[in-house]
Amino acid sequence: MKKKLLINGKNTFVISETLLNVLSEINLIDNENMAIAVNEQVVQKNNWKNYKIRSGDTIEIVKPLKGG
Amino acid sequence: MSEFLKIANKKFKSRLFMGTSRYPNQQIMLDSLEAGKTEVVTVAIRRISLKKYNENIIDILKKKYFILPNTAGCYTVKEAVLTAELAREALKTNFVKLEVIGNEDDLLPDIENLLPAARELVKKKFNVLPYCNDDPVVCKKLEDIGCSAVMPLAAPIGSGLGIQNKNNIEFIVRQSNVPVIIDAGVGTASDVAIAMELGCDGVLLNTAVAEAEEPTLMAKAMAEAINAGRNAFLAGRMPKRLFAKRSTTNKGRINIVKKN
Repeated sequence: MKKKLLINGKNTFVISETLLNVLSEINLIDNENMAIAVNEQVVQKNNWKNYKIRSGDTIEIVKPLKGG
Repeated sequence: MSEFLKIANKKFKSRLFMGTSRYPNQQIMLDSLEAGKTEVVTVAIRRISLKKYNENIIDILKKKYFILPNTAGCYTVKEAVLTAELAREALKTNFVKLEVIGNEDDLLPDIENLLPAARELVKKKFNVLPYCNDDPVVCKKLEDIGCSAVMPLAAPIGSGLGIQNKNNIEFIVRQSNVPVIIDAGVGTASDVAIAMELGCDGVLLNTAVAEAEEPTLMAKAMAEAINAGRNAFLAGRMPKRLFAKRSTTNKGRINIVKKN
């Protein structure tokens, strides 16, 4: 069954079970400086592989960009 | 100059911190950072685009510069703390330039939210560099919380108005036991020199260089102003007087006597 996630403010439907698989399912290439929070908690990169995603999760995927 | 600026456990030779935003293009940004002889550059933390290519500036910057992430655009304690935590995860740094603003129009700090955000981040072992008002009371509170520096504004972000309240900045410098970095509002090199002459430990700027007609040349001017201002501060300026005081002796001057 598909899970409904809110990824960077957008409703997204996925079949993946883990955070790492969600990234590949939405075609997001892993980036060295990417960081992720699920439900306002940072998930460290070494936990992406095992982190279980649940329907209704809110995911923020960020990276450093130009800023002042 | 052989002296260093020390913030938390880091030592810097350069006292000019530069932002990486709003330059006409990436090459001009890189040339400007080079001309400014900066060591610390700021970056923002933003959502990745799920559709298009996401530029990667970190690979280019990290070879040469100490990267200071900011929490620009955060309005609440929660947003600022989460952004800082994401920055730490993304960049493997405990340093954060903490910005908590009140509204979009003036981008001024929201002290009611800044203080608890700073407190929480210090508790989480961040080295917090808070962007704050030019208010000695607020700066003292931030220092007492355990911030690694205080960063009072010269004027609103991007305004280029220069230091609006020299007395307060001088007061902040005198009372502070942590570095004082002027953040935001400088417009040109003399603003930077004034900040340094007042005894500030450094200046963080972005728009003044990025929006100059020739950013690279302005960056060079800023670097020179940092050094000139710092040296003037260390040299100790002469006292100000209300009246003239001659610098050349009158002894031996010609004196034409009127003949009757």
